[in-house]
Amino acid sequence: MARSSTENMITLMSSDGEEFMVTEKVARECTTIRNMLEDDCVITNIPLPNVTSDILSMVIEYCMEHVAAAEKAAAETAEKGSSSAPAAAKANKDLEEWDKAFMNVDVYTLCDLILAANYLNVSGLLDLTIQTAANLIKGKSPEQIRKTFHIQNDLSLEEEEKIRSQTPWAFEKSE
Amino acid sequence: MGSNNRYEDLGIAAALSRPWDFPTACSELSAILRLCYSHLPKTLQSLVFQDTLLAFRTLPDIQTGYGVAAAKSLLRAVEAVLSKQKKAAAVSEFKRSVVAHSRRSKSCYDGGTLQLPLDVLVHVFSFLDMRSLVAASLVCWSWNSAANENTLWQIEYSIFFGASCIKDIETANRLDWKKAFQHKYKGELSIEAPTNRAVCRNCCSIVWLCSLSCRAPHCCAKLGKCKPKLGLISPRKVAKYTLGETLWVEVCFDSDDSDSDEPSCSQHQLPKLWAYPRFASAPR
Repeated sequence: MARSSTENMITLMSSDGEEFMVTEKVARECTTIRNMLEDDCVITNIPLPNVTSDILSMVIEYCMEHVAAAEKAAAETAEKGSSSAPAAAKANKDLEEWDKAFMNVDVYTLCDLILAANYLNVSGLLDLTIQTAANLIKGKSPEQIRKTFHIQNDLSLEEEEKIRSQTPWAFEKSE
Repeated sequence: MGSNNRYEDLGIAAALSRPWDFPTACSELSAILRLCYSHLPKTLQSLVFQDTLLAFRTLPDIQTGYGVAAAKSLLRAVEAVLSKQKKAAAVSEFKRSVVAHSRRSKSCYDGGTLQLPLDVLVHVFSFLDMRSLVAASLVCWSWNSAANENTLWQIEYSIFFGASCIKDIETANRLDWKKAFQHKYKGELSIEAPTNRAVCRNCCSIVWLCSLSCRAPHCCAKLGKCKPKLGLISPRKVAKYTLGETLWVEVCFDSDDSDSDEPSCSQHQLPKLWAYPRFASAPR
């Protein structure tokens, strides 16, 4: 890419001290970082004490993929004058497939990604991860949700009984 | 509209791949098998049979107890209704799946516990349907407080009963929406077996409840942004619908959304609403 040489590079530092060099454009996908850049435009090194290196690398991977997809779409539009609908639809579908494959992670990584996306304010990634987490919850019994998310039940029997008796229509007999 | 079209509109095959809709899709298949299989045209019979096989094939991907229970009751319907040859094919498919299912559920590993902050949990829960929301509230203490968030229930309320008549924002904020929802739900939508299907009384379309969430409410085709009027619909009704029966006898729904309905008087309305008790002893 010819442009990247003229583009500002930004160093993001994870909580465990690893440094990631990204283009400003990619970094700007994170609203939190964008706000920092807008407040002080000479900043080039940003410490992110809440994000570990493995999670940060995934967030960057996501941002790069989405920036690249957006650039490709913009380039095609500029080339042809107007974007052709089928090509755009295909690109969208490809990106969706990519997102889906990207979300093929265990729940620990998923929760860390949610927290990172929440902290860095990457709206696309936040929506994607939250939707994925919601899909993991849907249609399961409380016990199965606990198993999926590795959660200990700290509700007392009385509390549980109370909730169940208020909403008897929400439960079906399990096996 | 022919029964083939009606069946395809139900979207059962697609629902089988969604773990949360799998149980309802299975019970609808069993109801169709039991109630109207013999009345269906040959082409549709084979379609129903294919979907039944598909249900058994997808079972290993459905890691929920409800899913296994639903598949078992579908198997019972298969054994009761289908011809010898088809029955044998379905039963062997089922057995293969059960083995794969139990193998897969053993392979989950155990680690530490996970915790998400309250605001993030509320965000996650805003993508849930109502029943999953109730299940989430039983998971642990912190999930319970997130799932009881007033705004979530306010939105659930408007999904089911339309945007509230309570226009005054201050009153709306003070109202306990979960209580209001429970009250009205008990009165209007009571149904024995939980199901994930609802019918919109305005546009007569059958929708999957799980695909409705605070983020994606049902958009009624007929009335644009008007109030949706959702009612739950039992698998038996869905089966009858495939045969061409109308979804319900026209009921007067003009009684406005007065939240002060006494539970006792709503109970009296029930039989009129759904003519349900006749089916109360439905095999599950």
